[in-house]
Amino acid sequence: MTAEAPAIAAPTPLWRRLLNHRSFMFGLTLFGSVVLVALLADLIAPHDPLKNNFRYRLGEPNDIHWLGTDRAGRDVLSRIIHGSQVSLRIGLMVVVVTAVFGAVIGGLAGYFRKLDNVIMRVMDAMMAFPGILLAIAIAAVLGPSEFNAVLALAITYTPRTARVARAAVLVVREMPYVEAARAVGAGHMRILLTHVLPNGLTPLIVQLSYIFAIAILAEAVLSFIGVGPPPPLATFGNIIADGRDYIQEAPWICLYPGLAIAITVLGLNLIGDGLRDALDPRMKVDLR
Amino acid sequence: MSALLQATGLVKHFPAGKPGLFERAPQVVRAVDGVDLSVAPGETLALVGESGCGKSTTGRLILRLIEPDAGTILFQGRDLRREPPARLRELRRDMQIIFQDPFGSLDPRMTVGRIVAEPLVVHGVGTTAERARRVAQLLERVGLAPAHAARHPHEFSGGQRQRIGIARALALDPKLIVCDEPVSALDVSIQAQVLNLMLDLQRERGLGYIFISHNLAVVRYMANRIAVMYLGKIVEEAARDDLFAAPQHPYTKALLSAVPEPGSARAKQRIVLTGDVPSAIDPPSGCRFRTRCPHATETCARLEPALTPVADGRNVACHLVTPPGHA
Repeated sequence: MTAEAPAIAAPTPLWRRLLNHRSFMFGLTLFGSVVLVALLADLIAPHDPLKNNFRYRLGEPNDIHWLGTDRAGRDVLSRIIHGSQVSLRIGLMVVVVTAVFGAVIGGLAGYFRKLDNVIMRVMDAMMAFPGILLAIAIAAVLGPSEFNAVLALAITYTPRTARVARAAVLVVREMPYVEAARAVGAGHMRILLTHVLPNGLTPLIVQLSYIFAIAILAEAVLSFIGVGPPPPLATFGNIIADGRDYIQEAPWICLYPGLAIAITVLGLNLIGDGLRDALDPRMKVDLR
Repeated sequence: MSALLQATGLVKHFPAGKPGLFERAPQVVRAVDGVDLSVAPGETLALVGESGCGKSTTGRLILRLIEPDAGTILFQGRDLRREPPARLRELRRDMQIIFQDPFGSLDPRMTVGRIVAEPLVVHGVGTTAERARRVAQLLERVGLAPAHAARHPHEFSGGQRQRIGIARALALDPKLIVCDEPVSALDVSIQAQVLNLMLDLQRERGLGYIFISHNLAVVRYMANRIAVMYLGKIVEEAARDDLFAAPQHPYTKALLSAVPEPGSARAKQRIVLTGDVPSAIDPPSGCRFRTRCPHATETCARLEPALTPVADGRNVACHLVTPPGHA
């Protein structure tokens, strides 16, 4: 009995738009290979990343040690491969913790307007510190460990995520379908979880892909100045920190882990840009 | 009169602009400023008026989607403003709303089935299987196919989405539905289909409608009684035929004179109002309509006319119709 035209053409599905986004696919390839290397570290690392070999300190790249050895004669390639595992793990944990706290804090601030001023002024105060300095300060107070590094970075980047989440919630909470849910008798919890969260998620996902990149970079900084996960554990930052005194004689110790960071971060940023374009071309993420 | 809904003295003042951290809101918009209305079971009361006159706000105040600043709302004899939140939730089963915007009012991430079932889920009605059956029935009743439950809103046209919105409003078998400009976003060719569906449903289930619209042709088709709003107040209220036959308030006359009547031999003299609607932040003294009223006198600036009964079921707020001191 409905005489109406059946439907407006559905928009191109997200995955299709992403597949056609060339720099996204390039970023995905870069980051995907880093993830693959990290997952298969035990299988593909040619040497033990912790095994010292003092007869072959600061060895140049050759057939056995493709990327050379460091001051203790450890294989740089193997350390990078195993280090990628730790660095990605730290980045991922920072992303997860930041996502949860950022979404909850930002969601509450955006949804319950009475909390907004209080919560966001606290977040603003935290954001007033330059990000990496705050992370260094927190990590220095807590002491060097992998867990503390995650904690310091999560505390630093949660306000930035909360701000994005709040902005998204502010938009969604005014949508007529949220009012429709209230009219039906839905409570705050139900509205937040079934309507606001799914519809406000996209800017958050974009933000988190950038946070992932920044966390990996920041972990390297923390390790470099000695407040990250303690040596001899291999992380991108630790390897560079180990090599900095020998940068004249053995530049490969710093060069290759630096390249690994660059590839990882570039990949993640391209993924973030692609997601942003595919999800909403008008959206701009400001991250300082 | 055993009214389904009886609202008295509804007031809503919105703060104008966001108050800063340390200052109080300086001004208020008097969106709704003392509105009385009642709806009987199975009756359609239309709220008409220009945009910004407070008709949509009134609809939302009645459902307590917006919290009124003052007034009482009796629904089936119970005072909605005194009910604790848990009881209010229960009462919401009997009063629903159909929205103007068929695109925004359906969650784009949900399937149609989940949208229509949401009221049932919220109120814990039935098992999953029972709810699915009920959703299928509802979709069929509003002229869609049960198979549409698996689709998403963006796959439907405006008219079909509005049918989905109606199915959702019907899910809990309400007694009163506030219809906030339900067809104004639809193509004219679709409007009649949706309006007829709403009339059929009303006959079938004895629904009371509060029908908010600025389209007088649509209102004439749907309403039993009509209340005309201007700047947050009702200026005239009458049965449909009385109102269209002999409008009494100058504002109603002007509104009606603007309705084109196809095939009408009688040449209408159009009453053209000059000026804009005054700001609801600082409404005119006395009668709010006096700044645009062709008959305004000095009394109108001094005294605010009250909504006064002039005949059976007919109320007008105008000094010309009921001179002050008359009642």
